[in-house]
Amino acid sequence: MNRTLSEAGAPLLAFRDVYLRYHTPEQEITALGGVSFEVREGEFLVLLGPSGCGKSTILSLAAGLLSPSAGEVRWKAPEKTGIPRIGYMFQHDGLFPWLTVTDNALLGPRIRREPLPEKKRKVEKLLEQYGLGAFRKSFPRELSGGMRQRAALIRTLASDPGLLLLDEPFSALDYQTRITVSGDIAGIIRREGKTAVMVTHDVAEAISLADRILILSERPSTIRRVLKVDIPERDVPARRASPRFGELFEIIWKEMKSEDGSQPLGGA
Amino acid sequence: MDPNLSEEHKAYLRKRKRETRTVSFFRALIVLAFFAAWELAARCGLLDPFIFSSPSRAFLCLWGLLKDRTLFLHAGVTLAEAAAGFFAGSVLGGLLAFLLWWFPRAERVLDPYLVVINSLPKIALGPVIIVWVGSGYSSILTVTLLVSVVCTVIGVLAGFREVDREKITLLKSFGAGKGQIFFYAVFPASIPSVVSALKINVGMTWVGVIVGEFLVSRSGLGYLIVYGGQVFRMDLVMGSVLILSALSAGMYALVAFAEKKARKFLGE
Repeated sequence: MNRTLSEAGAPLLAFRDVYLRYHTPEQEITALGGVSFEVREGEFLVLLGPSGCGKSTILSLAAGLLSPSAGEVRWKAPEKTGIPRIGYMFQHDGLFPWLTVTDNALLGPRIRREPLPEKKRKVEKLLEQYGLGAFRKSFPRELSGGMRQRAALIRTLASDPGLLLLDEPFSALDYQTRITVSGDIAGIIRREGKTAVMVTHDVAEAISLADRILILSERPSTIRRVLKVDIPERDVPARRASPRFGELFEIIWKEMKSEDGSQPLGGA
Repeated sequence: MDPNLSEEHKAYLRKRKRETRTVSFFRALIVLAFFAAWELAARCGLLDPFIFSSPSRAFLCLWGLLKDRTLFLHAGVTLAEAAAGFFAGSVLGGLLAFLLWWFPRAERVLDPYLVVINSLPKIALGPVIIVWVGSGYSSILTVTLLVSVVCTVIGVLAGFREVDREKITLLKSFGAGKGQIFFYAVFPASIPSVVSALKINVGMTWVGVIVGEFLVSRSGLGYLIVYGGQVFRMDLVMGSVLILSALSAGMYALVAFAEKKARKFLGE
């Protein structure tokens, strides 16, 4: 059951004891085994867990693309739609190679048949602001991996999303690029005042970017622990240099290792 | 060559060029050797030129047809039929593939029929087609469609199905309907694989056109071949086959070129 949250000061998104079961002819797979959490307005929440633990499933539920088998997902959203406007980002930038950067960014408005000139101005301003002004008319293949992720973010921002869902958006990038690009993308999301839920299996990345971290267990997924990242710095290199970074890393590492068979991905 | 290139790179480019030249040389050699052996065998009496013709006699015969302009007429008729058949087959096949994509249940229901019809020798229906459709161009077109449509449907549908799930999820998160998903993602993304499927259609089309001409026509290369066979003018048969090979190779090259362009357009 999905309902809209209407009380003032309520979280933007709330999962209450959510179960999700997949069915195949051979078996029933319980992907989520009673997941409860809230997403507060303006926060950067990271879901951290081993591969195949149903993290992407949580995002599909949050986007309203799936309905829970039991429990409920609730949003604080305009009455009309019941779901806030969702901005998705994927592992692969998902830019359409046959469209220019600007046309990629205008996909959302085009699909909703919104007045284009106004949206186009907004998109061009965003591109200018985030260093892609010279690449407005370029095709995605002419951009570097980091620039492509930035273009993908601008495409989601062009739709004025109420909630950003990031599905391992940096895992296809190499290690060096990943650190710069993830800081860059998280910085833009904070500057634009957006709420984001990101999924990752990379402990260091989670601590580098999150306000709060939810540690998920293996399937059937539940939330093992909620951690507040109490490092005041927002900038990724500064965060990584903080002594607290190592401590949090240690806590999370132990928490994830204590589970049978699962090995969290390292990298400091 | 660009003077800025290093010696090593120049050597590499030279080596590549030499390799390409060697390959082209052997390709040309095979054709020349084939025709030379054929000609020689005919002149030495190893092959009876009355039955097997010979390159010189076939070319002489073509030259005669060229001079009285009947060659243009026959080749033109066949080419026009093939072009029309290819176009109609591609459009009809594409349309049916679109319908099956739109209605997945219909695809599941019809799947075994598609497989069986695809493996049937549909040419066997040729004589019946004359009775049903009449002995004119429409019969040739019908035979062509019969031969080419099903394999086009299967190839194009496979192209539609290949499209990246992330792109579709992204459009859904923008609120796109099925038609928009097709128009914005599925169709453009599958252009290369669709064109690739059409390459197979080229061969099928020529089979259909020639068999159609065998059955009904009073003009065209297929007619020349049947006529030449009946009156024992093997020069005419072989000459027509040569022209036919050139035309179908040209049409294939055109589609292959289109595929290359399409792949480049999609940044592959």
